[in-house]
Amino acid sequence: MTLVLEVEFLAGVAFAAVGPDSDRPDWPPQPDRVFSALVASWAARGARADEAEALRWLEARPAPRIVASPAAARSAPASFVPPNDPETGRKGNVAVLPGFRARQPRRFPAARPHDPIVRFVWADADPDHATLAALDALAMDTAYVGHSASLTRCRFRREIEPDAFADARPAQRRVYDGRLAELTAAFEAGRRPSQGARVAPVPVVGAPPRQSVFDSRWLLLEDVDGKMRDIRAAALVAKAIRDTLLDGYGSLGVPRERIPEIVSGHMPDGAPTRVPHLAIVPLAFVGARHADGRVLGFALVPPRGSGLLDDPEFLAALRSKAELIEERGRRIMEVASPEGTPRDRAFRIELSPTLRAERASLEPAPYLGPARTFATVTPIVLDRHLKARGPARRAEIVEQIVAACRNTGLPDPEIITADGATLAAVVPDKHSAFEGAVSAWPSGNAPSWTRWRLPASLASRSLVHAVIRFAEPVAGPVILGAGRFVGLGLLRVLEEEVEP
Amino acid sequence: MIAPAEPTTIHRLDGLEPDNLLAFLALLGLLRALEAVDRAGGAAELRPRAAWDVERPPLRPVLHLARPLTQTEVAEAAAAGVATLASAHEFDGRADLDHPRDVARGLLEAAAASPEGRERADLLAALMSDAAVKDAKDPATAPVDPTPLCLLFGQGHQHFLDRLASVPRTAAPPPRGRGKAAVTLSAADCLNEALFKPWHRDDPTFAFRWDPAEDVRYALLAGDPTDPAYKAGTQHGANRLAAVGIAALTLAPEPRAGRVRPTILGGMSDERGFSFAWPVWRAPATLAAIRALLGHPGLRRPDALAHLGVDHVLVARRISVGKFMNFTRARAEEG
Repeated sequence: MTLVLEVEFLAGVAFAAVGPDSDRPDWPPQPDRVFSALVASWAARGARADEAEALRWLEARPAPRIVASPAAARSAPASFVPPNDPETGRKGNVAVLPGFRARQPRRFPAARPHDPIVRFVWADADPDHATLAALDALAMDTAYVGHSASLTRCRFRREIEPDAFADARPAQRRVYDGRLAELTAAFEAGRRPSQGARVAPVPVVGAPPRQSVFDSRWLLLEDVDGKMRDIRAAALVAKAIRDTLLDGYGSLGVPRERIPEIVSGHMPDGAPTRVPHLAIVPLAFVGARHADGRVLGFALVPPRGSGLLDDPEFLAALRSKAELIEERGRRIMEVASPEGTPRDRAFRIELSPTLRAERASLEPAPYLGPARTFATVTPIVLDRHLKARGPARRAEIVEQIVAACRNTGLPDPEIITADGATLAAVVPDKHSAFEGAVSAWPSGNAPSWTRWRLPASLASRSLVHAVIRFAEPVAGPVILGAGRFVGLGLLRVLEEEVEP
Repeated sequence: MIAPAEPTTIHRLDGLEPDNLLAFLALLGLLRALEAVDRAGGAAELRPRAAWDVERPPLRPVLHLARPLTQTEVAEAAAAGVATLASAHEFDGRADLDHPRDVARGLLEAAAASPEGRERADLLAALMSDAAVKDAKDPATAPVDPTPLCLLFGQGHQHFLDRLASVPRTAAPPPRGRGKAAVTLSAADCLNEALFKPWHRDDPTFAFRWDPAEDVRYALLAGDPTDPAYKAGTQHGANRLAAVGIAALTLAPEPRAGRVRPTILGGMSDERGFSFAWPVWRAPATLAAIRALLGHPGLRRPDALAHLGVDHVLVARRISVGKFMNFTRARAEEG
């Protein structure tokens, strides 16, 4: 026999924070929160002895499993609320009028679940009739769970079908023997009760997350001097960095055709290689509140498992172009635009190789996951020219992005159903999901120099930003599209959903 | 269940909530204080160690001793130890942790050179380093960048060193209540409450903003938090223990964002600011072993310390609320 507590969020929103200092909603509600709500109902109903006995029976059960849908985290801007009723003691004080009352900031984190009904499932729990009746009476009087705006309908019921809750997940926090007494004592002492006991997560046994063909170990090139180009010229700078590395091989006496194709991107005969090779991606200040999209450095992202960053010849080529400058205490690589570049497009920058970033924007971690949802920082260069017009054009873009995922060893994006149609969970757009990232194309009246600069081989391709959601977490980096080796189509983890 | 009056070698510390930084620092302070009692000699050694009672919720630390004591005797021994350690809390009348670099170096060298200055050297080394200083025109006289646990810089007339000197020396808070009903606590009573009872925070004494309950926000209260009627008190015994416990968290300079900045055992700074992590370990561990766990490079990697008996790791973040700083309640680091 299985005991089920069904909690329906009547307004479709669950207001509950992980803590007073957090903007993150606590989803799904954990058993300790729901138990506290039942205890509040018990006290409001007159603290009846039979109901206390039922709560003690419930707290002694093992932690229930939870059936809950994913939820979208609602944004939690600061709301300004009046903190208290002013008692000024002065006649005619306008501070008592609602319009003049002081207000203080407060946040109300909330989750909007896809399915407003959450079920707590106690397997092999078979309360007697009186206990179940007492619990159900408490549940019926539980008008909210969490914040009082989270209106609920609750009921206990028995479930005979054991497989009805096969997709239930373990709880993260639980109650225990003595919790009712602890809550009562805390209330009487005017103390905020502590959270319930932590439930150790069950180790996930199974296949590791799918990975792209690119390695998660990056060599960072920190911008230390010179005039760094705008991120829209990142592909040209990446190309110049690659050329500098190739020159490094040259200075070791390695002929051009003998340079490894995972560095040059070309086979000995000069044709483009078909195997994954070194990607050079820009690392910019994006995704934060005041982000401005400045490029703070680049990263060399080798193909996964290539061992390129430990290859003595590669390191020697790098060192030959990044000499140790004693007075600056670091190696400096000078990268410049090719000779003959028009003066307004020429650049000369100094980059310092390092494995450990000192600036947060140079940290590879935000690009690596594992995560389900990624969004572009630099736009994806589509592999083929678009043919469709109108609404079909969008479908063609999505199709190309799905193919780009496959090309880099990633699974297909999640398949979702919307308006009766099945779609890939890919949202293409002109704009990036990240603050500070530059749009894929300028607005209509903008001058042409505000466009993204592409190498000649990609010059005519279409660019697009996108948000992509996979069915299971994948391990980054996720770099997609025809410009992936010169830093275009770089995606970063987008934390949006609250997973149950 | 063992009665409080019964001597035992194992004491569950019901007052020390696992997700409260003040409680964790108090645990470190308790171990330091009992070790100081052992160093002073006299009775048979206590050899204090601590573990976490993971099997019996709610989660609480457990003190292990080499010889049986009652709860009262544990508190008395701790009070004696804190009194010994408090003698090192002398800062020459300086109210804030803003020593010029050359002064800091002089103090640290003098403490290290003193044959009887181990406690003072530990304390000063946990507060500052002459390698991590704030930006200034003259680096020699630049003020030190203090320990990230220093949250008081004079705002609201709250001064860190002032409190760090006075709290350990204040054996007990003023009597509670008025007239004949007033209850006078001894130093041991005060520590007994902090260690073995749920905290009531009734004391009008100084604190360090390490207790998440000190993060009092207007919008979450019915009344004005600066009004004495609503103003939350402190748990004096816990703050006394924590004031001596901070010396276990040695400060180290580290390069960060192109500058040398301070960090401490268990501390880390990232794009979200400073956070402090502590493990929940199963087997009784000495203070030295706990310091080793706090300094382990894998402390924050999920299950990296499982082979050392660490069940999980809790992380408290330093936050700013208006002009004040606080630590959040710690949450489990799941990776």
